[in-house]
Amino acid sequence: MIVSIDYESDTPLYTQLYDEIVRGIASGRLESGENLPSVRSLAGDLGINLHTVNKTYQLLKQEGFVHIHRQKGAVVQPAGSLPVTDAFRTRMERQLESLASEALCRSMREEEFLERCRSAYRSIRPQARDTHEGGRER
Amino acid sequence: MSLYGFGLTMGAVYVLVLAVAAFQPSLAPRNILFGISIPKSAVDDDAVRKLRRSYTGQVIGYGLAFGILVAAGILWKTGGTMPADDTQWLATTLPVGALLALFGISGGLFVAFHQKAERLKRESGWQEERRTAASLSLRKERLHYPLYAFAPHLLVILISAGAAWLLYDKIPDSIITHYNARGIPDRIQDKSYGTVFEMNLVQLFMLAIFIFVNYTTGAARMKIDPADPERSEEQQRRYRKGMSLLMLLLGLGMVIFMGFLQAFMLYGGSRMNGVLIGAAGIAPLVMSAAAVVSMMKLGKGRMEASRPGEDAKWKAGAFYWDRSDSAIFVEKRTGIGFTLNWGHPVSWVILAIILGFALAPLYLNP
Repeated sequence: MIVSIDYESDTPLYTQLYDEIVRGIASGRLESGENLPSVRSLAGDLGINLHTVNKTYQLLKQEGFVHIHRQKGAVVQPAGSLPVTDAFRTRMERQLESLASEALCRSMREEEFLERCRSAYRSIRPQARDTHEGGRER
Repeated sequence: MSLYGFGLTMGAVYVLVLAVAAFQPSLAPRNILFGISIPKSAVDDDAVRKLRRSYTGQVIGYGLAFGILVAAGILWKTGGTMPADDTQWLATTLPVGALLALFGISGGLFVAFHQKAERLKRESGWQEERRTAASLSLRKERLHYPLYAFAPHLLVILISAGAAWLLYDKIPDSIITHYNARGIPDRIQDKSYGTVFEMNLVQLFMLAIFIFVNYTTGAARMKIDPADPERSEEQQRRYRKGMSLLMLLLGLGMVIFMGFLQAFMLYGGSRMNGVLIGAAGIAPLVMSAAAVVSMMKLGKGRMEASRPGEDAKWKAGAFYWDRSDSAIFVEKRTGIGFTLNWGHPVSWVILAIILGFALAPLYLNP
C-alpha cells in the first residue's frame, strides 16, 4: 500500500499521513494484523523528520487504529472493531458543518451535498456497507 | 614487465575511468540532468539531449587530449625503456597523477554542466514535484540477499587460510610481497604468521565491505513516485535485487582472486612470471568493467521520484545534505548505487570507520 503526502499543503504532514493510513485501514488495503514500517524507515522513505511519523503513530495508537507491540512495532487493528465514540461524532459534526457552510455559500443543493457524502463513503469501501451500518446501530 | 606492458595496464584504467566519466549522463536516472531533476516529459527535449552530448564530447575530448599528452611526455623522456631509479616517478607517480587529474577534469566539467542544467530548468519554467510517496509494504519483501548468502565467500577464505595453515612448513622462508612496475620483486619479507595470513585479513576486510554495501541496498531510502507508484515499486524491486546479486558475485570474484594471489605468493616460487603478474593486475580491472556494464544494464531507463526542493539538497549535484531527513543511505543522483546523507552525523561515523580500516595497514605494516 502506498501513502502519499503533499509538502505544500496547509494540512500538517502528520495529519496527512494519519488520514492516508486510516483510509488504508478503512478500504481494507491495510489488513488487520499487518505491521506498519518502523518510524525510522517510514520517515526515511518519505524524507521527513522522525518526530512527524512518531506523532502520527501516537495519534493512531491513541485512536485505537494500531496497537504498539513491543517487538513488531505498530500493528493494524481490525477495521470494524472500533466503536463510534462521542468524541468522533463531535469532530465529524464540526468538519461536516464547515463543509456544509461552504456548500451553502456556494449554493450547492442539499441533494448534491448528500450524494457526495454518500459516494465518498462508498468509494472507500463499497462492499462493506453492512458492517459499518451495524456499527452505527450500536 | 616492460614499460609498454605497464603503460597498457595504466592506459586501460585511464580509459575505463574516462568512459565511466563520459557516459555519466546515461548512468544517472533519466530525469536527472547533472544532479538537477527535470520533468519526465522533458527527458528527451532537444536542449536536454544537447547538454548531455556536449558534456560527453568535452570529457572525451579533454580527457583523451590530456592522456595522450602525458603518455607522449613519458615516452619522450624515457625513449620507451623503463626509466632508471632516479627518474622512476615518470613511470609510476606520473600516470597515477594523470588519473587523479582526470577525476579533476571530469568533476570540474560536471559542476559546470550542473550549473547549466540549473539555468535550463529555471529558464524553461520547469516546476518541482509537490507530492511525495512511500510504500508501507515494499520493505516487507526481501529486496537484498540475506547474510547467509555470503557463506560461500567465507568458505573460500577458510579454504585459503586453511591451505596456508596446512602447508605452512612447505612455504619458503622469504615471501615476495610486492613487485615493482618492472615486474621485479622489490619487497621480500620473512615468513611469519603475519605475512602468510595477511591476504586472508584483506579477504575478510573485502567481505565486510561487500556485506555492508549489500546491507545498504536493503536499507537505503525507497522513493516512490506518487504519479506512478506501481512502476516505481517495480523499479525498486528490480534495481535492488540486481544490485544485491551483483555485490554477491563481485564479492565472490574478489575473494577467490585474492585466494589465488595468496596461493601464488606462498607456493608459486619461481613460477611467478611476468604473464601471471600481468594477469593478476588485469583481473580486478576486468571484474570492475563487468560490474560497471551490469550496473548500466540494471539502471537503464530508471526514473527518480524527486522530492520537493530536493535539488537544493544535492550540493554540486552530487553530495546529498539534509539535516531534517532521517535517511542515512539514499539513491545516487549521479550514478548507480547508493550514497550517504552527509547532513546525518551517522554518515561521518561510517566514513571514519571505512577510512580507518583502509588506512590501518599503512600504520601497522610500514
